[in-house]
Amino acid sequence: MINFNDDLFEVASKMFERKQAAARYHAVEPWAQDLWDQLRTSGFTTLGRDATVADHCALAKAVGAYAVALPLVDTGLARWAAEHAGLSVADEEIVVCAGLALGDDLVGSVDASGGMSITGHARRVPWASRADVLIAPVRIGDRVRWARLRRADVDFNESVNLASEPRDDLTITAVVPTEVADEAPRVKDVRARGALLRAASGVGAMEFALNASLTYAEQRTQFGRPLSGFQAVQHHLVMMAEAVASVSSAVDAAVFSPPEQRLMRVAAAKVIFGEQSAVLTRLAHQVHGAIGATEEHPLHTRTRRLWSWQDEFGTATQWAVELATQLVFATSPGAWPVLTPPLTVLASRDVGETVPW
Amino acid sequence: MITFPSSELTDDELALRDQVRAFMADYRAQGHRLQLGINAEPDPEFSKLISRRGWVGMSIPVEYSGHGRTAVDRFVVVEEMLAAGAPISAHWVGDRQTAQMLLRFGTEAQKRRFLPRIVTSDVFFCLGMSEPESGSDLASVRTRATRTDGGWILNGQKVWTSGAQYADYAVTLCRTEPLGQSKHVGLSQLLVDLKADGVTVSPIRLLNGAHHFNEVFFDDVFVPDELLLGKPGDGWHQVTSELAHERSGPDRFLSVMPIVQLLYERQRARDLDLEMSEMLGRLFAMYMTFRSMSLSIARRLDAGELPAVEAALVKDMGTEFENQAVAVLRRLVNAEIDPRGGEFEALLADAVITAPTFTLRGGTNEVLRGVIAKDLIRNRRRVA
Ligand SMILES: Cc1cc2nc3c(=O)[nH]c(=O)nc-3n(C[C@H](O)[C@H](O)[C@H](O)COP(=O)(O)OP(=O)(O)OC[C@H]3O[C@@H](n4cnc5c(N)ncnc54)[C@H](O)[C@@H]3O)c2cc1C
Repeated sequence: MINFNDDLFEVASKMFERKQAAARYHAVEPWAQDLWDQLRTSGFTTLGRDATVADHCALAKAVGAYAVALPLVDTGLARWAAEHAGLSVADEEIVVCAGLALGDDLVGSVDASGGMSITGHARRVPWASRADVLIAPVRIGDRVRWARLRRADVDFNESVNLASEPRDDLTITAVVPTEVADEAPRVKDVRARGALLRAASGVGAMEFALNASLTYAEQRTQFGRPLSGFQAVQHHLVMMAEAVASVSSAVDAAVFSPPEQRLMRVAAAKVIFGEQSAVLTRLAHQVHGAIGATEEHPLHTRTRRLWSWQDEFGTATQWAVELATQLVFATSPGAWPVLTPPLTVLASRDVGETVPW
Repeated sequence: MITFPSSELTDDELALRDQVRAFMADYRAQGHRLQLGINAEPDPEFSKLISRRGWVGMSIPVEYSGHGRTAVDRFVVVEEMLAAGAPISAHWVGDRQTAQMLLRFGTEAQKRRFLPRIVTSDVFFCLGMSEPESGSDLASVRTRATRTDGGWILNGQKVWTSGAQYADYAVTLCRTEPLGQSKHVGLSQLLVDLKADGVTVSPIRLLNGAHHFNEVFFDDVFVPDELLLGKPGDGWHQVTSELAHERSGPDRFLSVMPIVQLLYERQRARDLDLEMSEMLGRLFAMYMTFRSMSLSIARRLDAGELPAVEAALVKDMGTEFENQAVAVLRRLVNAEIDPRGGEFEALLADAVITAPTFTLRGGTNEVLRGVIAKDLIRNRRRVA
C-alpha cells in the first residue's frame, strides 16, 4: 500500500521480520535488547527533526505491521519535539513525551534563587517506565515551556494498554528539570503528530490483519470449499480492504498536507482510523473463527494494539469534535469552503508560527 | 494492490475551482432550487450555460472541439457543482462516460459526429443497459440486433433508463450474435436515436414521484451501421472498460452535501453541542477521505490508468456513507420532516426517500464487493 517512504519501510520491515521469525509471536515480547541495539546502530532510534513526517510515519507503519514491542515511535516523537524545542537528548538515551493527555497538568515554579521545580501529574505516558528521560510541556505563569526530566526523579504507577504495552501514570513532586526550553512546538501540534503516528502504525497493523485474513480464508476449508468461496466471507474481506484503503488514504493525505490543513487532516485521519479499524478488527476475528481468539495466534498482537491506538493521543470522538470546531466557527463561510479553501484564502492565509512537521 | 496515493490540487486547478464556486454562488443568488446530485431534475439550459464556460466535455481533445483538459479538472468542476446543488443531470452521462467510451472505442466518424456536440450540450445520452430480466447479471441481456442492409434491426426492452425522456441517444447494450458458450461474447453497443421509428419511451415514477427513469421499447428499430459503437462483438469489453470513469467520481459521495451546507447555515447562529460537533466532525472526516480517494483516481486516469477496482471501492464506501450521512442529518435535525416545510426540509425529505437508490444505480454494492473480492483473492494467490 502506501508506505510514506518505501525505502525506509522496507529496511525496517526486513529487520523486524528476521527478529520475528526467530522469536515467534507474543503479545509483548520481553524487552528485545538485541533488536533495540540493532535499531540504534541503524539510526532508527535517533530519528528526530532530521527526518520528515513521512519517514517517521513509514517507521511507525512498520512497527504496526510487525507489532514491535519497543518504544521506537514514541522516542521518534519525543526527539522530534525535543530538537524543535532545543532540548538536548543524548543518542543512547531513551526519551518519551509526557503530559500530552487531555487533563494532564504540570506546573513549574521558580524559587527566589531562580531555580525551577515542577509539580503535577501526567497520565498514561507511553513507555515511561522504560525511558531514561522525559520531556514534557510545563505551565509557567501564562506560558508553556518544554522541560527535560530524569525518569529516576519521577514517581510511577505502572500500567499497560490493551496490548500490554507500558502506559504509566506519573506523579511529579517538586522535580528539578535538567533543562528548560522554548514554547515551541505547540502542545497541540505534538499531540496531533502523535495521533498521526498512531494512525500510521494502525495502517501497518490493519494491513497485517487483512492479509492474515485473506490467507486464512484461502487455506481454511469448510463444507468442502475454502472460506474465501463464501460470499458472506468475501464481503467481510472487502470491508476490511476498504477499511485499510480509507485509513491509509487519510493518513497519506495528512502526511503530505499543505501546512494550513495539517491539523484538520490529522483530525480526519484519527477519526477514520478509529472508525474503520473498529470495523476491521471485528471482521478479522470473525473470519478467523475460534483460532483467532487464542493467545497463540498472532492476530491479537495487531488487533489489541489497534483497540488501544484508536484512543491514544485523542479518541475518534475527541478528534471529531476538534475537526467540527475547526470547520464551524462564527465567521466561517461554511464547512465546504473551509475544507476546500479558495486560492486567494490559501495564498493569504496566516498560519501563525510555521507549524513544524 | 489497492492503492490511493494522495495528491493536492495545483494552483491552476484551485483557480478553476474558484471560478466554478463564484459562478455557482451567482447562480444560486438568482433563486434556483438546490438539487441532489445525479437525481437532479434535468435542466438542458443549465447544461448549455456551463458548456459555454467550457465545463462540459473538458477532457475531450481539442481536435474534437473539446477543451483538452484533464480528468482532475473535471473532478474539480463536478465536485464544486455537486456541493452547490447544481442541476447537472442532462449532460451527466455524456460528460462522464459516453465521451470517454467514444474516445476509446468509437470510429473516427463517430468521434467527429458526437464529441463536439457533447462539449456544447447539443446532444444528450442515456444508458440502455438494464432489462426486466437482466439487472446485476447484465451480460444476460436479451435485446438483440440482427443484420440488415446497411445496419441492424433492434428488438427488445430496456428498463430504469434514466433520462430517456429527454436524451437524444441511448447507448444500448444488445446481443448481435446468438448466445453461445460465453454470455460475454457477441454483445455490442448501439447508439440508438430515441426519435427513431419503433422506439417507445414510457415513464416510471421513482418512489418520490419524480420522473427520473423510464422503460424503453425497441420494436424493429433500424440502426444504421455507423451507429454501432466501435466493432461488433466488442460490447462487453467496452462496458467493463469504462467503469473506472463511471464509478469513481464525486457523484458517489456528494449527493447530500447541499443539505449539509444548508444545515450549517441554519446552525451557525446556534451553539453546537458536543454531540452535534462529534456527528459533524465524523461526517466531515469521511468527506475529506472520500474526496482524496476520488481525486487520487482522477490523477491515475490522467496517467492513462483505469483503476476499476479502486473505483468500485470508492463507490461502495461512498454510497454507504451517503446513507449514513442522511441518518446523521436526521439525528441532527431530531424532528419530524415536513416535505413542504421549506427548502431544507424538502431536500432532506427527498434525500431520505431516494437514498435507497444510491447503493443500486450503476451496479449494486453487493456486486461491487464481488468485483473487489475477486481482485483481493487473485492478488493474494499471486503473492502466495
Ligand atoms: C435511480 C436508478 C437509476 C438507474 N438508472 C439506470 C440507467 O440509466 N440505465 C440502466 O441501464 N440501468 C439503470 N438503473 C438500474 C441499475 O443499474 C440496476 O438497478 C442494478 O444494476 C441492479 O439490478 P436490479 O435492480 O435488477 O437488481 P437485481 O440484480 O435483481 O438485484 C437485487 C438484489 O440482489 C442482489 N444481487 C444480485 N445478484 C447478486 C449476486 N451475484 N451476489 C449478491 N447479491 C446479488 C443485488 O445486489 C440487489 O441487492 C438504475 C437504477 C436506479 C435505482
